[in-house]
Amino acid sequence: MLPSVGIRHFSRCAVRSARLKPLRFTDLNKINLNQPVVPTHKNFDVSPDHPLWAFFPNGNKATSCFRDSSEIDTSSRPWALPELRRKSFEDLHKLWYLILKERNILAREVRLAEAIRENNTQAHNELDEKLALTQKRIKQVLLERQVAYERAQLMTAEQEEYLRDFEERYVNAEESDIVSYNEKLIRLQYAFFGIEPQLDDFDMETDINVNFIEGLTYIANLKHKRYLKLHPQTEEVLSTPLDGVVEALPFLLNDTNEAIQELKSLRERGTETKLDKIDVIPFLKRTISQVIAERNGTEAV
Amino acid sequence: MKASTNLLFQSTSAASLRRPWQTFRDGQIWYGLTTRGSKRHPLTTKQGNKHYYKGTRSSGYGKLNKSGIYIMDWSKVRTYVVPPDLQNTELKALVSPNVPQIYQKYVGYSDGPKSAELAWQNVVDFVEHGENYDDRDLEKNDYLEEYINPSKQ
Repeated sequence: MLPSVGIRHFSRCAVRSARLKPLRFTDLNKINLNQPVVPTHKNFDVSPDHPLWAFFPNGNKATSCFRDSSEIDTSSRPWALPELRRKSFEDLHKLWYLILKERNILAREVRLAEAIRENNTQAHNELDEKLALTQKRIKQVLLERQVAYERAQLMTAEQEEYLRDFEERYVNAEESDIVSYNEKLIRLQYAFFGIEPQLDDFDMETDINVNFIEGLTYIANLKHKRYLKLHPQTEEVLSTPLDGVVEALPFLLNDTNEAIQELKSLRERGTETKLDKIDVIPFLKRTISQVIAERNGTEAV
Repeated sequence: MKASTNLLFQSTSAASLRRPWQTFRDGQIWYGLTTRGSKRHPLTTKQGNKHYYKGTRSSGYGKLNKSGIYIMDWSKVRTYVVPPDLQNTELKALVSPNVPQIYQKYVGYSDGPKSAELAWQNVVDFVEHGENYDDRDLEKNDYLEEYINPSKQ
């Protein structure tokens, strides 16, 4: 059994025995004392690219941690809706984060003012309201664009008519106009079917979808028809319309003449080019990533 | 005997039972700071009894599997996409008061900037003329930007 002695008793003993020992110093003359360090921020080195500098108005050139109301910009105005409507998504994205950083600075200063009993934060709050108003307007502009985009998706009749009209113009275009028509086609495939102009920008997970296949078929047929129009006396191997993505894909990846050669060899070999529906997207992903890898490999060499 | 005050005299016994009757020793009421004003607000994290856990809607980013290892579900973790060249941009958070105000006018469109015809027109213009196809000079036009529906002219 444990002796019934309280813990407090022990501790009191320890304290007393510690106190009973005579205090002894070493030779006082041998002790070297450092100059005391005054606890101010000037006595500490902070890395100039420390991320917390983002909470100060001038970054690492800040001289004080609190701006008076006289130092705060009261004359500038928030961004107006018509100005924001003219901006691209990237610009609005940047603007949002610039404002966010500015608001973080203000929030820090207001919080600091509470702590140091500085009551004059009206200018800070007014500025913050302006910034918040701009953020609300950015959201409004994005909402407007989204609504307009979703509504325009329903205009299928106009879209089909335009695609038919464009096809006719492309097939019948003069040799001198074809360069500008090719540029138009690249913009069209981006705007209508979400096909990026550069192969490297393809996101294999999301970009290869039903819309992509639709666009691919449209572009390939367009180029094939133009080729047939320019070369009326072609062999019969080439003149039948394209069937399936295997025959269509060369027209997206290469220029028309190369694609025609590939089509010819495909058809002369007589291999089965029709894919099952379930195999179409895996085939496209596989082939396109192979082509990207090949091109990057050759460019690197 | 102490006389009851006027206020208590007017309240019914049911009402006085319903209100928080308990006070601190210094007379402050048991919850809240005043007896007046709106009270029915959502509880904060500091209110409620010992079983009340409000949370911050910040947990649940994964699950414990049966051997007690936490498996993160990264699709639930919040990510903030900061634009890469934020340092080099010339945009400012505020606009100078000397910058003139732009006005926009939508003529012949059903719902202003939200109308489908305008979005469609923009797509067609982009395909036909490329990016930044609009080269109207705002200064000459008195800072009025007009979008006129070509099919309704």
